[in-house]
Amino acid sequence: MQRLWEYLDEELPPAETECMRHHLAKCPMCGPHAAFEQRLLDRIAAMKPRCADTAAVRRRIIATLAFQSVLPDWKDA
Amino acid sequence: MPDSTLAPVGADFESTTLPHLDSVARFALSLARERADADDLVQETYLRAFRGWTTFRPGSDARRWLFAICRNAFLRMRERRGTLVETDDGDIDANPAVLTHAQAIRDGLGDLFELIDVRPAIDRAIAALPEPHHSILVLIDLEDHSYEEAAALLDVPVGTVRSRLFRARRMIQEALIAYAEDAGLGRRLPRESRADSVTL
Repeated sequence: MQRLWEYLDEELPPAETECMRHHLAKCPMCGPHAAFEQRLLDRIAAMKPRCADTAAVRRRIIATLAFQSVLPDWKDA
Repeated sequence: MPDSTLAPVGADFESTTLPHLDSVARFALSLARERADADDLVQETYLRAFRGWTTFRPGSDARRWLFAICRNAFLRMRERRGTLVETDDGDIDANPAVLTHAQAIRDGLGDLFELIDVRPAIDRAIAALPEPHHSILVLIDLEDHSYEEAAALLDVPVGTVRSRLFRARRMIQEALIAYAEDAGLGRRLPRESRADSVTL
């Protein structure tokens, strides 16, 4: 199972990747299982957050640092 | 790009850290899941970074440094709110919850991902993951870091990243099984057979 996830994560060395690819292509149990696990990983990856509004965060950071007088010369552009 | 002309220390801090703001903000959002919390986390990260600026080694990886600060700030935030759940690594292979495709078919869950919208369950399962598994899963599955990069960011061996990541995924699988069964899919298995379940 661990090796399968390493394969799906593209973390296996090339030779092992090739071995795994051949095995999954032929094995009637492991092939569908790999596809099933890949669907899980795809669903998890789909939970990636959309880009944050960093302009607003940037303004907050600069304002906070300036307010605390840790960086008094900073000005928001 | 710098926002303004700064005093020497501020200018160094700005030119070194602000180019990573987008990455840090995204990482914070992956960790916190809520936009307001993420914004607070980014702000806290940069405040801590500025206060600890003298500990930064010039030429070292500023992004990695900021991520470490961000993660520590997140853990502190969870701790303050009483939502920090930690677990030991345990034996990954002792967890019977892993769902193989054959088992899924047997349990009536072969088409799990096609039959129901699993996004709410995955979202809650990620948020409910205990540390350190939560941070590992966020870095690799949501932030697309390699095992080696995640190991460097969290200062743990690659083998530890690997085992924690797989355990985290198993916990998510377990949460999905419960979610599917609650939605009327599959057959309900005895709860005692499920280690490391994540409550949704």
